[in-house]
Amino acid sequence: MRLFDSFDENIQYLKNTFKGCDDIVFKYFKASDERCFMVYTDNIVDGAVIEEAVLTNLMFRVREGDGESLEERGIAVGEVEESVDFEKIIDAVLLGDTAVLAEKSKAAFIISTKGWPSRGVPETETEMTVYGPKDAFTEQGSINTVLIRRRIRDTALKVKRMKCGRRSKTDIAVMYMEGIARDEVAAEAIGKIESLDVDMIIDSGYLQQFMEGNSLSPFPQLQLTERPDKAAAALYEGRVVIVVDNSPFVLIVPAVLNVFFQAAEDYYERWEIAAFLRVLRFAAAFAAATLPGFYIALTVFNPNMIPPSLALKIAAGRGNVPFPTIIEVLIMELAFELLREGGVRLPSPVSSAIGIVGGIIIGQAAVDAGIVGPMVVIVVALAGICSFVVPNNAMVSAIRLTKYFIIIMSSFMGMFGFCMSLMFILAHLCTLKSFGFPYMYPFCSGSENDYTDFKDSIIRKPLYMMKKRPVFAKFTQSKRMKGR
Amino acid sequence: MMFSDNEKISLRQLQCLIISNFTGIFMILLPFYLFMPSAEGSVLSLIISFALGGAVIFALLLAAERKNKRKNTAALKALCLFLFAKTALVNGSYMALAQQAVSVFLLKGQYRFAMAALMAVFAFFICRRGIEPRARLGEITAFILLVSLALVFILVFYECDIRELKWGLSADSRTFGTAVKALLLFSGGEALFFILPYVSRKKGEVKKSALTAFTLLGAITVLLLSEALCVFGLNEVTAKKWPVLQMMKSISFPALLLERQDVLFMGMFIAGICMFAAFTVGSMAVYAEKIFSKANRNISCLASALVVMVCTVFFLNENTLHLVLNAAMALNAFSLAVAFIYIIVWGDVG
Repeated sequence: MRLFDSFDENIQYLKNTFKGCDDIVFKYFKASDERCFMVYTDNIVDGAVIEEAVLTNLMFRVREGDGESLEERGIAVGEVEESVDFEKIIDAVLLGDTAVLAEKSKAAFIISTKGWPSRGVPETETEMTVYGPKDAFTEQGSINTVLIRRRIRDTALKVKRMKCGRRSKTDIAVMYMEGIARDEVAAEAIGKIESLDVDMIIDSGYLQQFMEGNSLSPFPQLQLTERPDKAAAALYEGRVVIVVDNSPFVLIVPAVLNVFFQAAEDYYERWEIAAFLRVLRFAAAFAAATLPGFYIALTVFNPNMIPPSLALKIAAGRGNVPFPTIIEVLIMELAFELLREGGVRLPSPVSSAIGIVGGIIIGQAAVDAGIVGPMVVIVVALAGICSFVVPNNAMVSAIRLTKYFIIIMSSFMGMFGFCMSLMFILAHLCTLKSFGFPYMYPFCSGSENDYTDFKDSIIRKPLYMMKKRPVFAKFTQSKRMKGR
Repeated sequence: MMFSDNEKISLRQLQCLIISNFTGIFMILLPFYLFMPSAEGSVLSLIISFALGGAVIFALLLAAERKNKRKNTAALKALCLFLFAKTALVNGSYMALAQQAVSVFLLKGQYRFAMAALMAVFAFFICRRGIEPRARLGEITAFILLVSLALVFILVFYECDIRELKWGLSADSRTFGTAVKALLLFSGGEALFFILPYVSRKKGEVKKSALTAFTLLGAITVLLLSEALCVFGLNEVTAKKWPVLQMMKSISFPALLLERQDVLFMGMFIAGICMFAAFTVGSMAVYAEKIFSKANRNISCLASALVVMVCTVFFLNENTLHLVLNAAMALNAFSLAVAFIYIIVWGDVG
């Protein structure tokens, strides 16, 4: 809807629109002899900017005939936009901008005065490293884009700003390196966001779920990170970063299985230890998913596979246990899940106490009481520890869920069920794609990039050997380093 | 877009599909057939059989490469109908034999129906998404199979008596006949012809890739079969139903922490059988789509999986084994012949 010709009608319309919104501030003032009206949302604006750069200038320093428009005469703010659209003015006010209407102007001035409370740039909490930067993304989208921009001083870094959510009107910034990122990936990301017709986007987690190719899969198909260095590195690789306002996590697309095992620290440390840790992570993820199922398959269906001395120990430990092995494993797994969930919700001093109480006291008590065998406690605890080695929380959750599938299959058909469950999971992973890239890349379709992406997969080779960008980048920009 | 949903697979993926689809089933069934009356000349028969198989594939692909292809819908439908039934019967029976082996090794001969059902579900699950995911899975499975078989070969090698190989390589009057029978028993070459439209390729490259994969497959099978003969000896190997599987029982490798490693290695055979099941259902679904041009892929895959499951469960038992094998031979020979005729006369499968 366009502004009315009458100044008073415009004011009345705005007042009616914001009726009942006590956090909206209306102010009449005069610039020279011209009547003006200002509207902004309290507490999400920078009060000093409004007072110094707008009000003081307009009310006391402006003289008629100084310039042509009010903006030129007295608004000392860099970002000022004129608009005649009520919807745009209202959206801007709700986002922390200030709208000024002047009696003799046909358009309203939208002045950038955003200044909402922020907790500053925090330290990473979910992706901690020993080496490397410690800063993390914050809830303020504009700060997040700055944190990335600081690391990429290149005009090729493009930022496409858009809004998503019919009511939330969440600010979203899609960032990509022009010339390096594949156009079709950036276009698909932008297209998916634009085509979203949803009430609200509260967090990047919402957007992640809406943008996934297969939303029924437990495996994440978009990568969430709170580390600006990781996001910047992804941009250099030709991937696309999506910054969602009010979320301290940004999204990175495309995301294949391999990237969920890459930690930021891998590239800050020497390659030998990084390669070792990478192998460890893959092995740990496999163990986290398979260990309980494998234990059931071995002990229930194929005990002849176990060396006699170990088999005797397991049998002795299970002597008084009244439940079948599957129930025994499930009891411990569920107890472990409860402890984990309880630990997450509680304040950290209490959660560590819960860990000690649950892990040591209840575990020992359960064994002493003969509810579970000691070997099951070891297996479940080992699987739990292994899951913590994976550096991405979404992947950890996927592994947790697949573990139960393997447990169930193994408990019905032993080693055959165990192998079949692995085949099902592998087949499922092979059906997944993230923005056109096979999820199992580079373990399959690796030939598309001459197998060079294996250099940064299960083993992280020395940095000087990674001369080519990953497959996500355009072929014309595949070289990132000159030969040594 | 490089990895678009264009239903195309690369030549490398074609190679991996050939290896992963047939390695498991060949390892279980070929020794069973070749050692059955006597192991004499078995290795030589196998080598001849693979050489003949290579020639058949070469001829088939050569014929498929020609220009000015035409399509005869009625003939194609008839061919596909026959191939659908043949694949269900023959491959279903082979899956039953393979599942029998796995069941005996891992489940004390139980759960045959559940195994067949699970394999069918798996095949449906992977095939309903088209050939691309199957090709990707094939790449991973082929790698696992090749590495595991190489490991088995190395771990068992020190128990070999290489002198026993002379029996396997000795030629007699029935060597060539056995080779031809083995070829007919396992020839599913016509399925390759129906995969060709899905392969992104340049002219002539498919032949090279397919033959390379087939040679590799042959080399692995010959090596493992020879090793089984060398481990068990001429007389003992004939009495074994699944010599390659049973050979793995002799693996003793303390670093693996387990008492019996053969059960662990069975995993790769299960992967191989799963891929064979997927190949079977995938091929049948393609045939079904040719027969019923408006067939929905989900439905064609589901129907194919159900038919294979029924064939796996009901057609094969100890009494019908020889009958099934002879029928398979005849059906394979006939299907290869009619497929060749179609390729030479018309050549376009659409």
